[in-house]
Amino acid sequence: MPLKFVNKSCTGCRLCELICSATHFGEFAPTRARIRVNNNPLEGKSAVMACFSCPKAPCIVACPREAISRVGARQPLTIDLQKCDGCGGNPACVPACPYGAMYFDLVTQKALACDLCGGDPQCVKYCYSHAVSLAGVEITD
Amino acid sequence: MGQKNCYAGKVLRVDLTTGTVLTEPLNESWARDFIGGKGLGFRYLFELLPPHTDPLSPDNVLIIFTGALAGTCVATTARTVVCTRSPATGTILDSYVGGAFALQLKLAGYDGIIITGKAPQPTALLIQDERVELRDATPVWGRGIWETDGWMKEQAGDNDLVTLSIGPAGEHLVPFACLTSEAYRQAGRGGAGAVFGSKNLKSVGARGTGAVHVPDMRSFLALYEEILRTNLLTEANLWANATGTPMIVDLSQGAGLLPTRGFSQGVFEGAGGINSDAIQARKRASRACATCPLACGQFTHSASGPMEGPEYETLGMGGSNCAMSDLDAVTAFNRLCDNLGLDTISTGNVLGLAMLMAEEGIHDFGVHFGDVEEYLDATESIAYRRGVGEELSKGARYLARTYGAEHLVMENKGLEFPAYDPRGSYGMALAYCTSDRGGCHMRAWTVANDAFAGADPFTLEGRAEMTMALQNFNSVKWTGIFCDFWAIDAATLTKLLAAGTGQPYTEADIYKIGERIWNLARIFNVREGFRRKDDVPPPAIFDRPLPEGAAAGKNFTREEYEAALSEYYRLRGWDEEGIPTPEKLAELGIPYSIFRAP
Repeated sequence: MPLKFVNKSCTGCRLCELICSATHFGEFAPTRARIRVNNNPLEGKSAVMACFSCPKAPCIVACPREAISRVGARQPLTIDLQKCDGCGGNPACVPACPYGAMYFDLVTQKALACDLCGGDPQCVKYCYSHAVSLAGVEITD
Repeated sequence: MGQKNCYAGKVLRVDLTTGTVLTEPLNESWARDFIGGKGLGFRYLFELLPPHTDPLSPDNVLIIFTGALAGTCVATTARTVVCTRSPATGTILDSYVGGAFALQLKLAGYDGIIITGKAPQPTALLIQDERVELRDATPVWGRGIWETDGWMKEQAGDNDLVTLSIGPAGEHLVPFACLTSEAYRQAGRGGAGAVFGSKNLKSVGARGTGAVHVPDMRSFLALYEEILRTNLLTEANLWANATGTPMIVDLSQGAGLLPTRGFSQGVFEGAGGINSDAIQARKRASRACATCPLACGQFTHSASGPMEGPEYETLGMGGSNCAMSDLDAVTAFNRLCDNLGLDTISTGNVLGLAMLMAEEGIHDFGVHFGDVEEYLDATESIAYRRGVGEELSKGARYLARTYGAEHLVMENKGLEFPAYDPRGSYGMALAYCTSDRGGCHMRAWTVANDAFAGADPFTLEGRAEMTMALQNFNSVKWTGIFCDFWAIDAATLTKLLAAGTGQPYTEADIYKIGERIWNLARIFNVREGFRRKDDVPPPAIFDRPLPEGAAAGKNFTREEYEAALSEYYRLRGWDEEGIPTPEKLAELGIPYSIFRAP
């Protein structure tokens, strides 16, 4: 089940970024997160984005190393870190994503995309305002 | 890199006079004894600031510090503290702002910034990881904070840069000029904005792309997940998420301590126009500081424009205290203060006093209760120190002394009282007057334990002990830097600080560190000449009981107050003048040698 975002519920706290990087890399490093928040404090608006397993996945086609794959439509991406070479610092997959949901890890020099934490996305668990949820999950409160 | 605890391990040192920027290691022994935030900020300030330094001279020192847990996932800990000698009071000052500045500074690799000297021209400090530059800020000198913040982001080429900026009020050295971050969040009290201005420092911006570490991430996350569920997202804290601070308007009104018409009344007939219901009717979104699920910011749209707020203090001091019952007017006032860089508490207190002085026939500054146009004009004039604003900008204590209104004024040590009238909760008198930075409610919010909790608020009995305990606990809580709105207990606080820093802190250590920090602040103030005579409320508290409401006719005597103050000093291990004894300092591990009494 892919991720779903409700921007008007996003409070701009960036907890999702911190939790994502902590879970995957063992450190609090928002620039290594697979989910990103864009804040506009002056207007009181935020937007949250991560790979939500879009139907077309142009990143897969764009990758010159065939490092990106998925097992089916609307399934999370798998990035083969053996194959991904970060395109020498100029990754083709990042601009290929029309949603700005593919990122580049400056530490490993490889592509970064949401892997849904293997089915239990930590960002969803920690998002108290339900700006990030799993599509199909009913939000009751 | 390579740190296995939550500290960045580095401090930036910026000399604005020479334009030099250096990086030095964090003092690890101080970090162990003072943890972070208020504690480390005060320790560095005490070391670096010579006694009797003019707060607005180049010799004053600005310490901007993160809390120990900044940059971790722990809620509310992305707060920033600014420590300096206050131009409003002459006391030590720690002024806090939420948002995400501390998160970005820590990710850039610094626990804090030490700023000394004075820049030859308007200057901005731009921190992007290891790239730290001083830029000519002439293009935005004279401009509002919102424009300055945008300009800083352009300079950085990064929309995620977070700034602490001053507006015209700070540039004009108004003693209650604040710092604003992320458009609507302030290090409000005590005039840190004027210290920025005196140094020609317009803005400090930080953006980091690094990482913050903890000794053991797996156990840290397991601990935090449990605490989040059982200790944070609970009834004790979720009011902040539901309504935020505006709900206090009705509480204060009910307790008869809502400052109204220059503190001459404790209930406001127009409170319904500025209470939580009025805010909720205009609410568009909840906004949060970094890491915080409570998201207490009420983002509103009203006729005067969008903003995060107003918060309770502004609704009280800019609303009822100025007899403004129209939320649009208070929002307009709030937006002006935020953009021009004025503390809404002090500004509202000063305006309320000036309006009362006009009503009592003492002096007419051209501001009158309920007149919106005059109120907004005067606010702007204060920021630019022009016309009537020149006098008003000098603060309530100055106005009272100069124009003969000492029987009306509500301040301590030159810091204007916030929106809890001590005549409706006696403990607040002790809390305000023993506060390390003057008339402030944040060190010991005793009103929450009596007037707002159904207990007897009209007594000083037990308030010395309550005030002391809250001051000590908040001092260590603000090493985190945890927010007031998380009613965290000592055991949980200890666990989180230990898990982040890797220090084996016990609850006993935590209490002691809080007391150590409070005593360090006290000897700073004693060194600057503050004594018992400075720890007493203004005459109106004793002589002018409130006319109506739950606190009508209630007051206490000077003798009763002095007895409570003596009890407070005794419990603290201070002498009758409020000076910490050598024995107390030794017990707390504060070397007596650093206390050079005048």
